[in-house]
Amino acid sequence: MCGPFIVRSGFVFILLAVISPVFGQSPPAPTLEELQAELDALRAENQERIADLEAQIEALEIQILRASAEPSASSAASSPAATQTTFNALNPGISVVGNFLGRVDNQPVVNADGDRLDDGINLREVEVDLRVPVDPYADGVLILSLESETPGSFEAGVEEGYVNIKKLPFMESPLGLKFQVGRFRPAFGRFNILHTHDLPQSTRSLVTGEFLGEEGFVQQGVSADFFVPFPWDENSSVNARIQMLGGGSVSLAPEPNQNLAYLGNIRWFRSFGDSHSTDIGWSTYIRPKTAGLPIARMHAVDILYRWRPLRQGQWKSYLLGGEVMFADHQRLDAAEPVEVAESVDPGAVGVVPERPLGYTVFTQWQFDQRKYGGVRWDNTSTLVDPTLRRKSLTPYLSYYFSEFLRLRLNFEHRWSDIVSEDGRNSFLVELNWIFGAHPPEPFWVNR
Amino acid sequence: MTRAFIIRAVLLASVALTATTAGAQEKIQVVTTLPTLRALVEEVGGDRVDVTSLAKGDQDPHTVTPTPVLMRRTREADLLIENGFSLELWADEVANGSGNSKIFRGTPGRVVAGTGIAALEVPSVLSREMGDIHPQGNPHVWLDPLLAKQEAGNIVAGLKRIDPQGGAYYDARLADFSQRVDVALFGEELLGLIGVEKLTRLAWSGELHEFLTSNQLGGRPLIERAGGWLGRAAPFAGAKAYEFHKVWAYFARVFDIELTGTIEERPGIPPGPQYLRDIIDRAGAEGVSLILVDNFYDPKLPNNVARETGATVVILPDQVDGEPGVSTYFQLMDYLVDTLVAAASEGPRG
Repeated sequence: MCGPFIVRSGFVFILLAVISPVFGQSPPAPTLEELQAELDALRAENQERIADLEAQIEALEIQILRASAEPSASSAASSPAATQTTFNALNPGISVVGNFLGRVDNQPVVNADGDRLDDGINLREVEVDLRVPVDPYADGVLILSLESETPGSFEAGVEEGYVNIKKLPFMESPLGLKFQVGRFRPAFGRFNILHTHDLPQSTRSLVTGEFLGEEGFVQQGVSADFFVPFPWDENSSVNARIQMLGGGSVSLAPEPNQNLAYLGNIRWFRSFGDSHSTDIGWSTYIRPKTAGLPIARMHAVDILYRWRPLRQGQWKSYLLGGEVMFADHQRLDAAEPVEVAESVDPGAVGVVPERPLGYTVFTQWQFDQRKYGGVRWDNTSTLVDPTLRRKSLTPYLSYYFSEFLRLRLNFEHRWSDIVSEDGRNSFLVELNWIFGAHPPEPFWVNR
Repeated sequence: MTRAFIIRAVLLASVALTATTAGAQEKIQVVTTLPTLRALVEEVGGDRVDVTSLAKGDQDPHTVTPTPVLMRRTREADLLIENGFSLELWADEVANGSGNSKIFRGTPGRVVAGTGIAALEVPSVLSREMGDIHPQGNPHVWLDPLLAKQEAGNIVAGLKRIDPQGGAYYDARLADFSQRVDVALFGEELLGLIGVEKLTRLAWSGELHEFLTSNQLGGRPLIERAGGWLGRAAPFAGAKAYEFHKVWAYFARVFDIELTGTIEERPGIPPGPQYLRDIIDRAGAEGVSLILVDNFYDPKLPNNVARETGATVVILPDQVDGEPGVSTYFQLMDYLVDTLVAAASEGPRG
């Protein structure tokens, strides 16, 4: 840039020196200011040209950059949606659950069939869970079970098989009304709807066993589920279920018959802030009076408080909950079997009102991603004689290898007015596994 | 006179009130699974929508409990927007539990914002041996601002299905949002020089930084022309990092962070002692300087790794609302970039 400027300035200077004697004094010699002005003009012109050239170069560079080789990776393009169709595509999602139990006891333990269960190992249950949308209106669920009450012998059955009608073709469902039709676990209390492998402990509570049956109860029926309007608190939700069930198959009313039973359940859920929530439920089961059988009626109140922090709390949680069950039923009073007593002396069979009551309370703490520990306290009267009480204390520790594999250690000490189980200590080791399609949430605490 | 005035005033007030109420009722009711999607809906939906998010900003989006309160919140929704890639497995339970058939899967009221996005880390083998994998690939696509634009585009398509009269309005807001993201990401100058299409292709192929550093303009490396988040990210560009869970692949691709490992042994599987020993040894050899941890995870384990390796643990929100003051998409990216710049400036410890 300086070179041409010096050359040009020198040339102007020499030209002035040469022509000034030729023309003598006639044209006045340029003043120093004029020369300076001319010099500045030339300098400005030069800078403009340079800027022009630089702009041209930059424009060319930009063109080169824009035209440079395109990215090599194909990931730059959006992937087309998967459009491949297979015959399997519409089949159900399948999960398989296996539940293995080993136990050591200080006393003989027998099941309802009189088989010994103590000091043994058993593949307690295998479930095959199939789920799929049936059509735009309904989802289908089928859970087949292979259960082993006695170690080594299995009984196949339909644990649950129902269709969830979530939408009606002819109208909007009022109050979010949904129907469940088929065979399912009735919504009595909090824990009856859970399968054995989903329970927080390895066994069901004594109160469940006493009022509903060792494994709770499952029944055919129709269930309607809807929201109860609760507009004054946006952090609350009240849901109700009304279920019409086949009678029987429950400890309180075990008689197999064709009469219907009815179950109502109302549940209030409320969240407190981001980390705390509570829900409280009331359930009532009624099997109306039928030929030869008095009315069977039982109720449950359940509550669960849950703490699960968000920030840095992914693996912390605390639960405190329980359920109380009580029955208001009438027992037939006869020294002999009812049929025999009635045949001997019709009208001699009396009815004795009974008020059995039991409850279970449990608390559980999550230590980290893998470990949960807790304890459960059960206290119940028996149905056959409400003056007899059974109690147990059950501490437990669950260890998750992953979401899909869980080891649980469970200890139970029992106090009981039934001599054969009083003072029993049982140590249980449970291994539970799930494979197949991803369940919505394998951790019970998150449900 | 006075009576006539009062009657007229009451009538006018009634009309105004009715108009206001009608206006409020006409708003499209949108529920999103994630707060970041809520922020995107606010950007493109403007005052034609009311939007709420089911998950919280500092909550793990994988494990949201589908409570009855969430079901209740979706009962009146016209649109339910989810991210997809099997991230929100709980969304179906919420939608079905709500009894609101407008938002069941397969209806016009259900939008999967990640539709059409080419996912990273798509597993080549679908087996639980690989941990709790997402069969469709890494779902955290919104952490790439260019993909957030694509999600916003899918959201607009959903809004237009429900509210066709607002089509032009949504399109205009999408164009404006996209333009603002481009400027915020690349800066005006780089954007003007190279053009957003080419920059996007380079970013998605992972070649953006190579391109910007190896090419010159006017005798200066092109990277010096970058502004916005990309310009500000220079202190951590090229850094090697561990992540706790596989979350940051999309962010790392744009901002040139080399993710060399995870603290989790496999997705959803906590590390065993041998694995921890391996990653600690490897961190030293590879020069890992950052450990990226989402703010809902317990940082104890990453802190232990950091103590042994000298790397810096960076606690980050991966969602809008994940930290105080982070309530828009732009604030989320600002927060991420600024936090990483601060962490990178600290340099390796120990």
